[in-house]
Amino acid sequence: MSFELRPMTRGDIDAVHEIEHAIFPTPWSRQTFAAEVSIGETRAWLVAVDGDEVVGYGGIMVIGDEAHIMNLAVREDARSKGVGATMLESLLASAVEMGASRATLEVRESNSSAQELYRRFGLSSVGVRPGYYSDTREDAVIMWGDLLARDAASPEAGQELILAIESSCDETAAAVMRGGTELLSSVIASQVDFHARFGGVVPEIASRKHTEAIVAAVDEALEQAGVGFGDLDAIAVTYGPGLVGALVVGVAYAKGVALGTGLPLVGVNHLEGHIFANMLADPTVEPPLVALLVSGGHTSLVHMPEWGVYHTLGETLDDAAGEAFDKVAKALGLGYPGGPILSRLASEGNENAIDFPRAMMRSGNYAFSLSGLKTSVINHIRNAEQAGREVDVPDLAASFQAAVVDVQVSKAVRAAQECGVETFCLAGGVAANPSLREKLHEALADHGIRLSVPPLILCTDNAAMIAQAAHFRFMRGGFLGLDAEAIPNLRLDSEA
Amino acid sequence: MSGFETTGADATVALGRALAPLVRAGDGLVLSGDLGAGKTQLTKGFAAGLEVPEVVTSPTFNILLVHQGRLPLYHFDLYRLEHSDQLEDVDYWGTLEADGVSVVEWGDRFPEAMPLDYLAAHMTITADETREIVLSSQGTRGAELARTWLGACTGLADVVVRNSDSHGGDTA
Ligand SMILES: Nc1ncnc2c1ncn2[C@@H]1O[C@H](COP(=O)(O)OP(=O)(O)OP(=O)(O)O)[C@@H](O)[C@H]1O
Ligand SMILES: [Mg+2]
Repeated sequence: MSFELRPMTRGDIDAVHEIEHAIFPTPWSRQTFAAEVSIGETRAWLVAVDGDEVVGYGGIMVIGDEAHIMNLAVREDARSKGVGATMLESLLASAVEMGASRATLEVRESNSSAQELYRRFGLSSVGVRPGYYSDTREDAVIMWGDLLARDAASPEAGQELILAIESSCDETAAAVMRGGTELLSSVIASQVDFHARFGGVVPEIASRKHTEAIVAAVDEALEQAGVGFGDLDAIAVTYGPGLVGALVVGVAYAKGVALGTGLPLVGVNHLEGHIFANMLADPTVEPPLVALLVSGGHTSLVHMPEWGVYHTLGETLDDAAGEAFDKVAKALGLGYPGGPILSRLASEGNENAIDFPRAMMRSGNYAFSLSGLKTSVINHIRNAEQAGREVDVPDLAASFQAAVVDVQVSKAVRAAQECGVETFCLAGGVAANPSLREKLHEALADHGIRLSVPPLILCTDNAAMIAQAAHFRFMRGGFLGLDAEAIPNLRLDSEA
Repeated sequence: MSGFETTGADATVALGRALAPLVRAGDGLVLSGDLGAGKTQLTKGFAAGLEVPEVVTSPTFNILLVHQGRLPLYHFDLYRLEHSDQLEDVDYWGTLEADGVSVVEWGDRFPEAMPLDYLAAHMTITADETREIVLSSQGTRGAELARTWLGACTGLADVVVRNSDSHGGDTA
């Protein structure tokens, strides 16, 4: 879907009212909209249109230096495509032009997706109006935000300096980037020598690995970039998905810095970051594209029709691809991390030696399932042991790997064709697997689709990819409020 | 020894589903057994019984995945942890006592760090499609869950229930 914004006119009111009626329990009347549109001066009303169909609308009222967001709605079937965010961006820009320096609104307490959107634009909840909504006696959450902080945060176009922090699972990382093009530093904490830096373990925080690591990683990233906190234009942080205990460390730290420095906070989805590793490695990569995200914790196919818009086409129903590699390696007694060892052995084996199942190969959808394959391999080993047969490890590794890769490649190609894209991105740690790269490259090339694979260091968790994704959010004015929280099961598709 | 024998993954899923109506907030299920024994499969059924709407996937990488059903479901997997003090970092103890039910794959990984009161199921691969599931428990609530779960599974397709300890007791 593509859409554009234009001012609301009286001619739009029927269409607007129809949407209003369909989604709000106590809709505004046609007369109210008509009156609002005719006021002019203190009001800004706009509609989002797809062709000549209205798919969303919103309006603000500016009194003195305060903008009140009066209404913002997107038709049910046009959600999660960035319509709401784009309209809000434009309304807030109008508000500033009309002399507002802050914005406020009320939203139903139960409407968490709207609150999330407002938070991303720097509004935070400051209180409730109890029983504000007459139909359900539901509380209204009052949200408030400073518009000039957003404005002050606009450095010369595309020259902003962002510090990005990543701590969604195992790695703690920090990076500094200028203008979305110039990576000044990228530090992964597990590679920093803390003992040298702290002169030993700091007792109070020794068990809190991330907390300890984050300070050092940020210091190191700033130092390598040759900048200080005062030079920055924004702080970016991964706020989901991931392990809650790990995420909160990064989010709390980033919020602390934002509060202390007055810098805006940019929230990045970890999976979005992985996709942006491709843009970081090759600036010519841009949507529309399809990405295959394969790592220890994820296996998903994502369609990105345009900047900021994601549709998850399918995911694993059980184990992730990287997890299957590690567990099979473990079952073979190969040590950790199993993926690289297994793929090396596989190159010496015959991939047709054992006919392992290709789960979901013909399911017609984009879901993956790897636990059955894991168990087939384990059964194969167990049955061989019981029969006193020796397992040919390279053959087994090659056959297992082929079963994984075949399914990934076949779904990847089908997704790219069905979505009609010419660019395909590989992301996540399993992108290091040579067989996956090769087979994917060949299969896509047959259909004239180009494959982008970032260098390995950008495939595994890092903060440079978060900085890259943050650049795009920053340019679109997508900010988190200081009441933002880590969201362990944050979805990519809910991003507006 | 009390427990079950299941033939086919669906039967193990059905076992998990049968446990769901019996649990309340604060209950803990410790799952153990080899790779591929069916811990995640059993949890899928349990989650479905708790009316969790989304697909339940393996929590190995994430260590904890939280789902919302009739009760919050805290799905742990200790496979990747190296030391029991890392349990602290994932707020293991706080979560076990929280407002939901916890299922812990590889829950026997740190014997010194077992919960106080729990139901445990140890799963063994006996053949490609069959699993033996032996129950044990700690504490009165764990024992009660073991007893009621065994009772709730009679008649399930492809499930054999072995109830050798019908008088209850700490270790079933
Ligand atoms: N009777 C059975 N019960 C459970 N699973 C079975 C059975 N028969 C076959 N299976 C298969 O065994 C596999 C069990 O995998 P699952 O991922 O649930 O194991 P797990 O114990 O969680 O492993 P891990 O230690 O890797 O977490 C599934 O692929 C399932 O289809
Ligand atoms: Mg499992």
